[in-house]
Amino acid sequence: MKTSIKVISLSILFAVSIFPQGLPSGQAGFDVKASGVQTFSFKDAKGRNQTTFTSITALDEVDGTSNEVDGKISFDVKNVAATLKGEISIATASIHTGITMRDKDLRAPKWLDAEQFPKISFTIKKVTGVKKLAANKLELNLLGIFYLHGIKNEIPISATLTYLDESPVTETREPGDLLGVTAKFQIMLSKFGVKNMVLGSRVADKIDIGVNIVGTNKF
Amino acid sequence: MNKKQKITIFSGLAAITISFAIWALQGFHLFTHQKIEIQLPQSDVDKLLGQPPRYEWINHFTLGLEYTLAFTAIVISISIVMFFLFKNKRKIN
Repeated sequence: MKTSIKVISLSILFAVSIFPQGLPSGQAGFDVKASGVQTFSFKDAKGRNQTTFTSITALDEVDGTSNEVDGKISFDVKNVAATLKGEISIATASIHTGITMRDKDLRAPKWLDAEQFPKISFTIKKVTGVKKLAANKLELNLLGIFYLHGIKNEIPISATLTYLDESPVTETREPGDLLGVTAKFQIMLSKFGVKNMVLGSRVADKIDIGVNIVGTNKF
Repeated sequence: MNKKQKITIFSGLAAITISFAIWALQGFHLFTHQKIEIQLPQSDVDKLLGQPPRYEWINHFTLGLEYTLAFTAIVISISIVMFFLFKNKRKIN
């Protein structure tokens, strides 16, 4: 009898140590008022959603932003890991770096070719390593297809999702439940067919990207 | 070297020194910027949503090294031309 109690206790301790939030990561979701599948749109007419880009070389540091974010993601509130899907994109021509000539160059065929490839996007393929940071906050690893300059490559992204039920506070931004997404990742321009001669000297091959966007389920 | 030539040299050097001082004071940028990023204040909702501060571009001229060097080249060229123009001409008897 004592052995059985010991085995059960150890099993519980083991389970608790593996799943500190009490749920396997595959079933982790938000503990919020909303339920079922929710779809969030990240198109903000006021341009408050932002992606940032940083290139650091010995010669120069280039910081860029884009506020023309579009796309939708959907998931079952109680089971985000297994149901999360969607695509987020930005308009290639919307990238600004503070230098007018450089912005024009970026859009030109020798760089990102905004005319031929007007969109840069990320499509979610798989979700792994879901950690519940709070009742309305999840940290997860996304594996997806990054599309740039007409080329698709699979890349991993670490993201944090924060869910806010609709309230007088959220209405100050926009109606509906809100989903805040922050993510940071890196891409190599050369893997996307960008092979400009100044790559590596004035512009780094490795670009750090930040995503800071908020979506609403009333759109 | 006559007085006019001395003034030309000192004026040129002063202009070059001032342009490099402006370039240094504006942050030693390699390229001239027409806009700079400013950090916007965060709203309460954005803080609750874990959003970091957003940035906005505002018009602000920041002198870069390329414009400073181009200005220096122009000043040197003008100074050389003026230096020879102000040269004393000897009268031939």
